[in-house]
Amino acid sequence: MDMSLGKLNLSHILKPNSTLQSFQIKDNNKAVNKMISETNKKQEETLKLKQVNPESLKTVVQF
Amino acid sequence: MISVLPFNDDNLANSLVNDYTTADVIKSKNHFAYFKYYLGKEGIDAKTIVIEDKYISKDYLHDYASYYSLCFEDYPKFCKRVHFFAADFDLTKFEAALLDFDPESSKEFWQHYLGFIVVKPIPVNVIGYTVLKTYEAGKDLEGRYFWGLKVYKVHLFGREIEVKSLAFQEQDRVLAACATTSIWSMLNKVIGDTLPTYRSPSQITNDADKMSQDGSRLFPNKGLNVLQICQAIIGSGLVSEVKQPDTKNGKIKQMALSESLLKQIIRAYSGLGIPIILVVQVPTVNGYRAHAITVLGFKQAFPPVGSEPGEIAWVADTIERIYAHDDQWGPFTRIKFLEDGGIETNWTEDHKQNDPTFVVSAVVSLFPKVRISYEDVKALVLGLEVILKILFEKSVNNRVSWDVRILYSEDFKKEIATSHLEHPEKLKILTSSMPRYVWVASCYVGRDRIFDFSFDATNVADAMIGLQAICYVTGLKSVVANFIKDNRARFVQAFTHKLAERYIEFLIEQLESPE
Repeated sequence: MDMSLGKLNLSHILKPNSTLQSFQIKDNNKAVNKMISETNKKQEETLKLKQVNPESLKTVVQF
Repeated sequence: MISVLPFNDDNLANSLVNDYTTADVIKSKNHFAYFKYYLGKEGIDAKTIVIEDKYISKDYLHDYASYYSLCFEDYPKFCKRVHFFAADFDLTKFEAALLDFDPESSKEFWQHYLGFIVVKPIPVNVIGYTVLKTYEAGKDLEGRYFWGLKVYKVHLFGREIEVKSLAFQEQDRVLAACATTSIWSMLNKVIGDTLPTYRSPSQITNDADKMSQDGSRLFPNKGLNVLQICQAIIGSGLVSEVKQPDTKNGKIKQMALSESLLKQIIRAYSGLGIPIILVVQVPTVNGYRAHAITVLGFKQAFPPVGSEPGEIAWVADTIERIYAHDDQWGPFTRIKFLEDGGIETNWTEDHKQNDPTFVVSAVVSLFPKVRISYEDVKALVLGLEVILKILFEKSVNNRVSWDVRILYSEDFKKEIATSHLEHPEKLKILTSSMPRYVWVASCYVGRDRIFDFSFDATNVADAMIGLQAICYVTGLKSVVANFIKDNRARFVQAFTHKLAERYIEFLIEQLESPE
């Protein structure tokens, strides 16, 4: 793992001539709204997988 | 008595026979086909076989005492142990090596030791306690990585040799079916380390239940259902989590784990080093049958390249193949991923139409103190991904991927210690108090690890479990902190957790701390 660890300069991960700075997302930014709502859906689906289907526990492993 | 033979197909078969099992029967077994390959030139390249013909196997002795000794048939209690070496020699040279205690020449000889197979004195199902070296291995993120191994001290004619492996054996179809055997291999990793008591196959089957799932007697064993597998794991002192399938599969007419979910689960829990039991549907001449295998390694090709636009990329997606003990074939069997969501096991290769194998559930064994599941952490990572994705859009020069693993905090601290963080920051983390088990979500840009977000794996899921946010890029922390502060209300929505506000506060507090 150590090969990928290290205090890098920000420019190392940025495209040439790019900078990285904070900005305010506009309220009507549909792309961001969509991204958040899709993420919420994925989060719900992920957490739903914690509920074990009792039928799946009946699979007999015998071979 | 010692026999020394050159390694070849006939000598391998003859070394595995016993009074109840002929060489022809041995040659008809899947195990023979597999060992021939694994011990052969394409595998670990054995050159010589040494047979120790009177050997007490503690493992078989338990099963002998509880079952075989009570049969009318006079089954012996002694086994045979067959050793393999990656060097050519004869009996004279071997005897000389046994008497040679010169450190240099002795080391030269014994470094060729590859491990052993115990041959049980019972009919057909003869492959007992087996410890063999792995294929040549790399380390995490680089090539083959066998995370489910431990060091075995093998005592042979007055010598102690260390072999890094995980014990294997085939089911005897009396005291253990495949489910028991898969649990036995998994438990072998933790016994002597965290679990003090050894459990033989018969004891594991006894832990599973009082009777078979059809109401009949437990022995001869007809297999275990998933719930009984979990009961056997809990009986051993560990706890289990059953990972549910996420996709419908028409071929087996039941749900199966998708390739991505399977890889994520294996990667996530590999950090604890406890092998993972997969319940699989394997193709046979009589249709699909449920079987259990024990996953203990994988081969990765990091960093990730390409994925569906808009989809989150996981470091786990770079797993190319997994390695598992399959009690009906052998140790370290190679499993590839197929395009239709199935996997290619030895069962698939052996099947006339090469029908795929499917994973229908994964049984993860854990230490009782681990209470936070992968799903809890993944839901948080999906929220973190939104923040970084919006901030990084069009600015970063490589793809962003996430690696989620549960680690012993001491192992996490070792990674920090070998990182290139500034010494004060490193010391601050190393000397901080951490729970024994931590979830770590690492964010990468290409090969570069840019963030580690750590979470308390021993807490309760409804709490705010964030521990630390560690940044490996100078000047990045403050930009992310400001970005979260500038869009605080929006990013609270990126988390479905009841304490989403607390998570945002945690991120700001961690990212605002001086570098």
